Amino acid sequence: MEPMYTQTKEDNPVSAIRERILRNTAKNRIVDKIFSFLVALFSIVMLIPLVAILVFIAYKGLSHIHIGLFIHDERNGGILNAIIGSLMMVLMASVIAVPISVLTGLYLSENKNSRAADVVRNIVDVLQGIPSIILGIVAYLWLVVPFKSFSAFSGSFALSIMMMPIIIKNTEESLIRVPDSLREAGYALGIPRYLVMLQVVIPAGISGITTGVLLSVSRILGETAPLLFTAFGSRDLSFNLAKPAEALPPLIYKYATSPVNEWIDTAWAASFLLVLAVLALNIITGILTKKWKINY
Amino acid sequence: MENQLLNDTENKTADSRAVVKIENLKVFYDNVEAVKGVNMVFEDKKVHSIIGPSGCGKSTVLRSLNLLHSLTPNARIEGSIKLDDENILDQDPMTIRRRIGMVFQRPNPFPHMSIADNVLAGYKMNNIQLSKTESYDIVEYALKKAALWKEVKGKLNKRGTFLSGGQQQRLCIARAIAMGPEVLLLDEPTSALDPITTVNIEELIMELRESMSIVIVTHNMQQAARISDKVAFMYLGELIEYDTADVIFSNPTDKRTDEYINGVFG
Repeated sequence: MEPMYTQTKEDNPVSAIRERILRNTAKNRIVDKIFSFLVALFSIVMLIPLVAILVFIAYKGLSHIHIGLFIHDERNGGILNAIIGSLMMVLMASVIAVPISVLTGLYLSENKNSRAADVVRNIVDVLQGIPSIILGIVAYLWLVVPFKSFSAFSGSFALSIMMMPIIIKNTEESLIRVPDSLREAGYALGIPRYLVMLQVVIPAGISGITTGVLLSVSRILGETAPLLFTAFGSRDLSFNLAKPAEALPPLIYKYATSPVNEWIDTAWAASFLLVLAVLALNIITGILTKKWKINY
Repeated sequence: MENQLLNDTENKTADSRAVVKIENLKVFYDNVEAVKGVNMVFEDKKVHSIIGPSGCGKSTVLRSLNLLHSLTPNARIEGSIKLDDENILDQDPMTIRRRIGMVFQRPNPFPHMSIADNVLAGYKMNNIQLSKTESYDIVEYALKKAALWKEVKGKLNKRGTFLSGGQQQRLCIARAIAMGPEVLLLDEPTSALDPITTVNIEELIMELRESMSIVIVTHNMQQAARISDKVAFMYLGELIEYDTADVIFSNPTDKRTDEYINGVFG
């Protein structure tokens, strides 16, 4: 049989439809431009709500921010008790959630194909879908009822469960990307498995883990529902995890629904602070992710 | 007479002393026999190459020497590997791996560590305490041995991943020899490197040969011919022929060795 490449130009099937090929290219060029335009347009449209929220909240809130908010508790016209309460509960929630979640993520990445890992992965997915108010009720039943008191700790517990799926997934994804050759390098030096995990695998994936932690913090920073039955709220400045505590989101709800104009202004100021904190966390996440990223 | 005896022992150590004896080694993955009863002896101060086509079991043999097969859940091993007459398969892998070092195909320095910390990784991560002087001496010794000292002595605290591929591989060799291994295993150490860097690594291997036993798996037959004292040819999980480099490359006894060497298959 004669090979194909000896064909003459005349019986080349491609040359016969050459014109059609070129016409098609021209048409594609137009569609390409329209498509690029639409993509750019919708990206800008999508930015509008975000920018609008930021501008509106800054406009409403900035003018009502004064030093008194940061040095007085609610009884004296400030929101210091809510700021401290938020920080305290987020910190405690992180202390609970980070170690458990990072180790779970490590387990999932080290046993990617096992049946047990599949079960855990599904449970984590379900956990992520549970409405936050339910987590608040669970924390109420487990921690508020037995101890006969609302407490900042029970709020932290509810928030920590919300953090876990985000940290677990980010940890798993970043640790799976750590190449096996690095693990082997560790083993080949006679390093026991747990130390290879703690000193090679986790440090290599630290950028993804940090991303997960910061994202989960910015996620729970604005949560109101899990705190309703747990931290409950308080008008006094308190550093006691066993006592009720205020946080910024429930404070905003409380003040924004009040009939007093001054209180509504304070709600705007608190909203601005909260949005600013979330925004800052996201920017920090972006910077750290880039800075600590390791290319293998 | 006493002098004579002393000389004899010295000669014996200076002469080829068997460090590793592989006896009837079989490795199975699930029920597939990847290595089928291999016998080999590796001697001190010699370079041993294992050559053969892909999938012939050469890397599996090398990894068994570092007991890395135990990381693969479905791998099973039979026979014995004796290091100084003790079967390493019965011993603690952590200790054995400190005596038998390994360098891998792709350079794999720890990306979050400095050059110095990479060299000391075996100590640091095993919580073996070192004084500052000891640390520095080990870093200098290992990097000098790995022919990397001159290039990196000014930037020991920089990350190892900023180095070029060949430098990274030499850093990995330094990391292995920092533990003072009796045997150094190299799994295709130059296959990811350019020709000039490859020559550097080969020269380095020839120098390391002065103080330890070296086993290298390679796809590159010219490389095996250049650096080896002894060459093993493996095919389909079997050791076909194991002899001095001269015999293997100029006068092999087995037809399959001859065909592989001359590029008939592989």
